[in-house]
Amino acid sequence: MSPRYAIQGFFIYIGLMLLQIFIMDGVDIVGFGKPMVYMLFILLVPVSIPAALVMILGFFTGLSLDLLTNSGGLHAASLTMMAFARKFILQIYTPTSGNDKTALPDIEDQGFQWFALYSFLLIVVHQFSYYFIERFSFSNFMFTTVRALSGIVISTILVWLIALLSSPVVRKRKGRR
Amino acid sequence: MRNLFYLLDRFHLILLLFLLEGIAIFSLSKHYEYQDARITNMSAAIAGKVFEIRSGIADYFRMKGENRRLSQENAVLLAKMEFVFPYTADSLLPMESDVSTFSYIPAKIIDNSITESINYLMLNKGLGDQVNTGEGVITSDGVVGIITHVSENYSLAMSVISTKSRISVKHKTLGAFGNLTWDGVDPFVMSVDNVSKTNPVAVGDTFVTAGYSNFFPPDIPVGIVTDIQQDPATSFLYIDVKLSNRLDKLDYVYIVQSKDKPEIDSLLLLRPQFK
Repeated sequence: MSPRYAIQGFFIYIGLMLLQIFIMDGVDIVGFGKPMVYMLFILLVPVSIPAALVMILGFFTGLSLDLLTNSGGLHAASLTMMAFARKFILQIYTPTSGNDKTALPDIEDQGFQWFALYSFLLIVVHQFSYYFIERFSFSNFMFTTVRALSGIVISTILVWLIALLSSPVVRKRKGRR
Repeated sequence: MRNLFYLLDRFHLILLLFLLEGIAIFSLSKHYEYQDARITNMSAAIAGKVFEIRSGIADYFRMKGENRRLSQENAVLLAKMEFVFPYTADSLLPMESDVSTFSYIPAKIIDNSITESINYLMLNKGLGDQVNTGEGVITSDGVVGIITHVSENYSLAMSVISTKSRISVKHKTLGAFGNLTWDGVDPFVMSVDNVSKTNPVAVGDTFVTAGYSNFFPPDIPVGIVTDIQQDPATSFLYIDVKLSNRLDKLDYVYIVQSKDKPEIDSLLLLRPQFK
């Protein structure tokens, strides 16, 4: 990992944590899922980073959020699961930049279309593990599924928005106008 | 030995997954064991601060509604003041047991959830304010929860909308008793069971707290009946009540303290069949 990525990653981490804790967690949409955006941090980890390291990163990202919001190990468990799934999604759904080792799985390097499906698939994994681990059971299956589905819709839209707004492509286009 | 390394190399991701998920789920299950949990640990202290800052931001947007609620409450209290002493000078005073043994501590909610299966509220009063576990939490509109954990400056209350929660209630006019429970689906609707079919309960009736357990004073409103179902197999009714409190829109609550509760609890323990 080059130091540039590490520093960039650190700021992404801080920004997403602040956004999640102070804004997203304050939103309660009655009966539906909570908006979550912190998984964008794991989504944006460079492709070349080994999967084991991504999982450890995911675990500690989730754990830090658990400590800050007093939620046990719920975020840690679901984000680790997502980081695990990321390796397989990246294998099946190859980034548009091909075997470029320096590429980031983001909108700038891969285009919005690729990023949209990639982030959606991983958010599905994350939200389902989050809500089912929270319940600790498959009883009330339909209810938990509905919550997970609504969580997927809200979180995916927010993650796309944040990724788009922070993407240099958008910023450049704006600058030209 | 080579085989072992081969296996480790082949399956290291799965093993790592099991290890990390194991740690996370273990800490989650410890977290859920709230009976002996102490929230004096560092996580709760940091979380308390975080929640307080966030609640400060959210407060600003809710001031209007909260003001209206407080002014309504004031109006009700003012109306009551005229009847504070309705007895004439030579009448028999009510017996001492009728006199209220409850006192109230106002507290502010700094974190609230309604979307989990067991919901907790965090309040900004703790041991330093003489708050203890087992005390009820109410607003002027109805019941909110029961304090389960106390740290130096904060306390956690289990919300009534928790699958573990169980509160004695009674029908306001008929006086029929029941238990208030929650099935974990709709955060505004709870159910009352153990009400006998012989009671002519109707939609629109009010349920209030029974005041048996001394968590709550008697006659605090709980909710309004929205649906009644007859179970042919038992002699009880299934009653759905809509909570009179909007649990997602709360800011300030009262913690109920009963002077007699320790004495009543110790007496209950003497009952032979009581476990």
